[in-house]
Amino acid sequence: MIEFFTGNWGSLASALGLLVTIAIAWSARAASRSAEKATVETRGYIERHLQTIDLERAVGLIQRIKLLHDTGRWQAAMEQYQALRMLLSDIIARCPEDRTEILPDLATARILVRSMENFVGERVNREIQDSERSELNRQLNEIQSGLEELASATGLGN
Amino acid sequence: MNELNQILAGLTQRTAAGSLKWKRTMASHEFVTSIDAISVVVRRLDEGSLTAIARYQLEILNDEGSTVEVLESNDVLGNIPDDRCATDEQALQLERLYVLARRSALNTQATLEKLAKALTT
Repeated sequence: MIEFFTGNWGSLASALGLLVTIAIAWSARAASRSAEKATVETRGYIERHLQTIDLERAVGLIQRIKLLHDTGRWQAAMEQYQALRMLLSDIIARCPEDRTEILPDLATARILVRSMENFVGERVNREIQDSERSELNRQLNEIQSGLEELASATGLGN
Repeated sequence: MNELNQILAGLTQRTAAGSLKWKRTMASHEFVTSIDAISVVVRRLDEGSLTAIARYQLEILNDEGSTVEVLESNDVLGNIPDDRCATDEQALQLERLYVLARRSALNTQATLEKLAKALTT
């Protein structure tokens, strides 16, 4: 037996070295996977957090626009429609992969805001009727409650 | 054109089945729906009283909100550029889609059922 070990010492050492290398590589791979998973989770958390902040900003913007409607400041409202559309585009672009079901509502809201912008833009020299103002606010309320639901469902605002 | 035929057929089918909901915009005779971040707008073009033939338009916007495709039925003078002019078959499908989108956005079916029920009681 001793003779065998003495005679094959080099081979045994190589085999042992190989086993140690495999074990280290395995362990490093597991650590790398774990780190990768943590990175993905952190990125997901940050994306959701940013999305919640943007959703809340969009809700704030809608409230401001409704106030501008109520006070008849249509030119100022026009600027805010554009800002709202851009914000909705940012939210869409940053949407986490596991939250894609919210995209249709956001995309539709963006078109509705574009339509409001065109509608008010075409009436710069003509007074907007009360019924038209009500319809604008009704559509904004609908978009707002949708955004509030999304922000609440994301649940990472704190 | 082939893709547009598929898109028109798919939109019509899903709207008729009730799985695709449309919303009314601030423009007259205009409705919107979205699939993922891609939006589709269908509208009836107002030609005034000069023509009795209604024309329809389909607009597709990409996930950035930019218009990537427009298809519309031809006018009486044939002035619509080839790249956006619908074939006769597409024009019919476009009209059908508009009618369905309008019904979806205005919740026509529920209103009619409610009215019919109210009249029978």
